[in-house]
Amino acid sequence: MSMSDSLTADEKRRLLRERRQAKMNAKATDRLNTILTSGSSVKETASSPLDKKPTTTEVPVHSDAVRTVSVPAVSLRDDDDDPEDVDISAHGTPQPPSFAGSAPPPAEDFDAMLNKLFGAGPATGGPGAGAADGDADPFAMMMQMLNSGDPSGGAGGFPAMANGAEGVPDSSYQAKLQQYYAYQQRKTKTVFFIVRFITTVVNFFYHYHNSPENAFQASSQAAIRQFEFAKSGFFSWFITIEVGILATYFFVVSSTKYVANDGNLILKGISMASMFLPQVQQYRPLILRLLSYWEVLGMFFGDVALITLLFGLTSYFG
Amino acid sequence: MLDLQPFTILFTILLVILSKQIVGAIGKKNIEKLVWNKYCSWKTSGTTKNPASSDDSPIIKLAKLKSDLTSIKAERSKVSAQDQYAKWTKLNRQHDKLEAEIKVMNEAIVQDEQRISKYVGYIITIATTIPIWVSRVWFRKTILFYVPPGALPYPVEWVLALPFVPTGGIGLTIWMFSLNSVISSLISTIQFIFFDKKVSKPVEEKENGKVGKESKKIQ
Repeated sequence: MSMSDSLTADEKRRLLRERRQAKMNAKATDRLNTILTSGSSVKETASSPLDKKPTTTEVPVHSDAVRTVSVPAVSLRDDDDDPEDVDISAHGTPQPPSFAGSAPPPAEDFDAMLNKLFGAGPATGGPGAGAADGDADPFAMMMQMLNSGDPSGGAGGFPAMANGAEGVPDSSYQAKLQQYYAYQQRKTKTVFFIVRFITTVVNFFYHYHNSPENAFQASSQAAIRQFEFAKSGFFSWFITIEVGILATYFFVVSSTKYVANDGNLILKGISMASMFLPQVQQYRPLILRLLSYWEVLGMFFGDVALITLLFGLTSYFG
Repeated sequence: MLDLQPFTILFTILLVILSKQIVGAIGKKNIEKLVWNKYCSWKTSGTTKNPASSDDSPIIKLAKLKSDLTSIKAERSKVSAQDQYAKWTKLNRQHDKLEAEIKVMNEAIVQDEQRISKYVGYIITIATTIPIWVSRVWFRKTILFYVPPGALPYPVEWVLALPFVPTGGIGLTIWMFSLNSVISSLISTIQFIFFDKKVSKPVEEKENGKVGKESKKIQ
């Protein structure tokens, strides 16, 4: 108590400051390193500038005598002085954490990475190792396939699509062209359906009205099967007209390039499979031809269904 | 039980499959929306016919609340919060209260709409699916009609008699297949002629900067 009485307020403040400084200086480096190493980004240790040997400077105190005190080179508590310029040229931009300890792959390896993924590169030794030079980039092929389902154009198909390097406008044009082809295909099918429908109905009702007695009348009575009627020429006419119409349809579809393939699951499956097994592509024209035959056969069955429907509706009068 | 005439079965199945195809073409969601709109207009017309009734439909109440909210918002935007704080606060409280009421009413209406949609879905299922399955089980061996002998060749008659019916007869399986085939073709034809947009051939833009005309007509 006598000590505190003998000291002035200024001296008390000075003593407190010195004690604080001494405390900080004692463990400054340890505290700094604890903060730095708590994360994983910085692995180096540092030394606190507070631990450096302080320079001496003259500080005037309230008395006339000049007293020399020790002041640290960097005073963290002195708000009046600007901090010293710190040379940061030695510190570069911190590197992002790397998992394998190596730099991130450059952009030109991206294609090689994709090739490895899809097995088109020899590095994996996969089935795509023998990919021919003429094959398109598999990524571009995949994009084309997703857009159109037909990376190679198909039998009698549209002009070869540009690769993905040509940018968005070309793919937009191709998408519109596909839309146009799909519309034309539907239009052709609709026109031929109308023609088949009208000819079948006309043929049916001609024979319905012109056949003798009940020769062309369906009925729910089983007795009708016991009668013997002269054969009507209905089915002969039906087959003749059907062959003509379906042959015309097949010729029209084959000779045009209206191939909209994006609805067909089989063709999409072939496109996907050809990315892993390129030899599948050689069967594509055959499969396209078989699909077109199947379509024509489906039309014939549809017309037979129409005949069944007409017989069923007229059985009410039998 | 269920001893129906063959033509009755035939015609019933025709109606069921026709309605099923039409529902498929229009879309179940569109039908539900249509029914909901009719229900709302029926509810509101019932209220307008009797304005003295205090039992307003939720839709009319919601419309009133929304118009009140709009007027309060307009009034509040004209009032300065600094100059007329008390009035602004009062309007703000009314605004928040109305918003809360609208939210509750919206939820009630959404629940109502979901209930209507559910019932419509049940009706569509009952009308289009159950009769088909019942018929397939109950009438699978019923001969709906016989084709006149000589009209069709024997191989065609044999195929059309599959799977349970003697040659020359037509059973439910083939009848359903025929109906589905013809009706779906007719519906897609009608859709293409009356509802599909015409697509013209696109013209590729030139690379030298000249812009090609893109004649995409939409009718």
